[in-house]
Amino acid sequence: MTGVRRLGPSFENTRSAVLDMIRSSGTVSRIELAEMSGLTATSITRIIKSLIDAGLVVETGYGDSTGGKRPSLLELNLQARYAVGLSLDDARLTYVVTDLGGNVVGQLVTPGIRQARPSEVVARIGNELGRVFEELDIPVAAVVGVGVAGAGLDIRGGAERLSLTADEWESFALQEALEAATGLPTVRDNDAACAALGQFWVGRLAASNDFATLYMSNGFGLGLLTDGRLSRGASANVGEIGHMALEMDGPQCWCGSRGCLEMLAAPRAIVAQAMADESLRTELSITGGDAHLRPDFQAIARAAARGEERSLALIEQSARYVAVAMLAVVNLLDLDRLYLAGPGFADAGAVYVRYIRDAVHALARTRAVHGVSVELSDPGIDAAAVGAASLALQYVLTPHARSSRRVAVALEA
Amino acid sequence: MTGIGLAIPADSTDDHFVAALVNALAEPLIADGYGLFTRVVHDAASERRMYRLWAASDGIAGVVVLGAGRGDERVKLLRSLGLPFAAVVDVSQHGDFPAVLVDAAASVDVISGFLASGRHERTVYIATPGDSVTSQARARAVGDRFEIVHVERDAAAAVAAASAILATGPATLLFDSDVHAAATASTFISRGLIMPDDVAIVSWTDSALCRSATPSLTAVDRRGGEIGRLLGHRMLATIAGGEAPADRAPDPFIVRRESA
Repeated sequence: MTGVRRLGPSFENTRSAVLDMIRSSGTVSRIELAEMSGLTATSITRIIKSLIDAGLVVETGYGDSTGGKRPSLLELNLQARYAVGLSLDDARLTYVVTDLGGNVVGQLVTPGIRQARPSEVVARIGNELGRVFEELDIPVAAVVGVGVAGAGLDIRGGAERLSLTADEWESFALQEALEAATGLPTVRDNDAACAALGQFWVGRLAASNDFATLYMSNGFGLGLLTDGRLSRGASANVGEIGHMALEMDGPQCWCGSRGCLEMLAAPRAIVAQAMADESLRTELSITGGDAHLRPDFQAIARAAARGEERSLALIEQSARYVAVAMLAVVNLLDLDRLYLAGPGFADAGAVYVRYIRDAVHALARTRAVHGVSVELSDPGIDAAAVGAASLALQYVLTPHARSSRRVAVALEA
Repeated sequence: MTGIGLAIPADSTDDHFVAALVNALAEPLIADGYGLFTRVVHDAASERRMYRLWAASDGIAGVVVLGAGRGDERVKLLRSLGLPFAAVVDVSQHGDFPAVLVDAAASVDVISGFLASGRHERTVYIATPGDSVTSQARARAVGDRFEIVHVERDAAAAVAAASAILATGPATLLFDSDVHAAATASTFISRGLIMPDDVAIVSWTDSALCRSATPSLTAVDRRGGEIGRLLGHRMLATIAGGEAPADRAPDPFIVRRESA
């Protein structure tokens, strides 16, 4: 019964762990669940009854007999509950509705945050969430909660720094404001962590439960999954890879350091270099400035994907820096899987994949021991929103797997 | 915020051509302050139900339809509901409604021309059940030019079909799905086959997966992003009360990489 003790003594935690096993198995019998969990057949029967009564699990036919009566198979009752994932991004807000299994059932895309103030954005989100349920025909009573993915540093209590240009976000308690505006349980994390969790939650039967997801929007973030759980760090800020210093005497970064990955390789740096090349600037009709950052970067990335040489050289330069940073991550953490996700990789992601693959293949310290797979996340562009919905599902339905973030913050405070 | 509705068949949600199209479709819409509502539908009845719901809503200004054809029941329904719409359709199916026209026959010509210069005499087209935009027109256009094998969406089915074909000798394999093409390429590489000498692989869907695979996969760029943006502009023009003209989608082209 060590399994029970490890999961914690409460019925709730045990029940949530069993629900998670059913989710990751697809279909499964009570006997298999007893074997997986180390629980007795009696406990499993009791837990399954409570899950069926709650409408979360259904019986779906019979498995192969191993001698006696054929065992009935269980699976998630996918349409029993829904979750919303919201990705806050400069260029667009993406709301994704998923079923209990993390499958996308609907989506809303609206204009991005741009230069708007947090209070305006929260009011708009409250309104748009109502529209999501109405226009996509989602029963609000079955919605478990909202997960929010947004870039930036977590400065205790839900405040976040969204970007270089949106200082108001730094002292804004987004989670609390959204909960008040929507009446739904709301949980937030950075977009890289959400993308990693989404990859884990939606993907099944992966070879290992340890991997990292590199997320690129205007900056970089690294989501880290260890033993199937999001790694957090002392203040829930694991993965600030954008501020890995790659050039000691490099350009001054807004964070106070020099030569950070973000200053060398993020879209803003690439656009700045393209702006310095007058003929390229004209050819791609890029205009510069933060308000045009995303379309400017898209124009360069699309030109690079078409094989336009000057654009490709700029993207390759960025990819070389990213590859150096990811090689360091692989060496530090001994990972065998990396995913790339986010709007920054939408058009020229393959260039980054190739440079990272080449670097870890040729130089990773463990290259003689194991390979490292490097893949674009699927769905790459919406990975943060899909993952944010997974975050809400996990937070509400399988609290045993919940990260210890809130607890850690409470202890610090 | 006024919205535009789009119903996506469940079996198209993992199609990278449709994903690129939908992602780009949102660009002109949000630039004009509209939201794009997308609903996954599992059958024709639930698609019709969404159109009725959207017609009754004050917040939906129009809908985008994937793969409508002449005499399409959905077109009749949308007209009777008075819901403005714009569609992406094959040029052979164009009716008197706002549309972006894709030419499946032209894309088959492009690929035939490319394969004619290839090293293998035998070409087999491994088709997936419906991508909801042009797959039917494409299957018709392929006609008797290549052998056709139909497989389920599961990548294992495509790998098994490809292996059975290869057992009878070298061939060029043309896949509807980039996921199928990549899974097959990776299986053949692990068995020690050489590309394109032992087997050439072409994907009818170009994607980041084709570009980042090792070896990289030769593919048809069907211009999903550009089609999506044209469709978004066509939708905006339609709800602004314009006539019902159609835009011609840009021509597909072959992106030649290592696999063929």
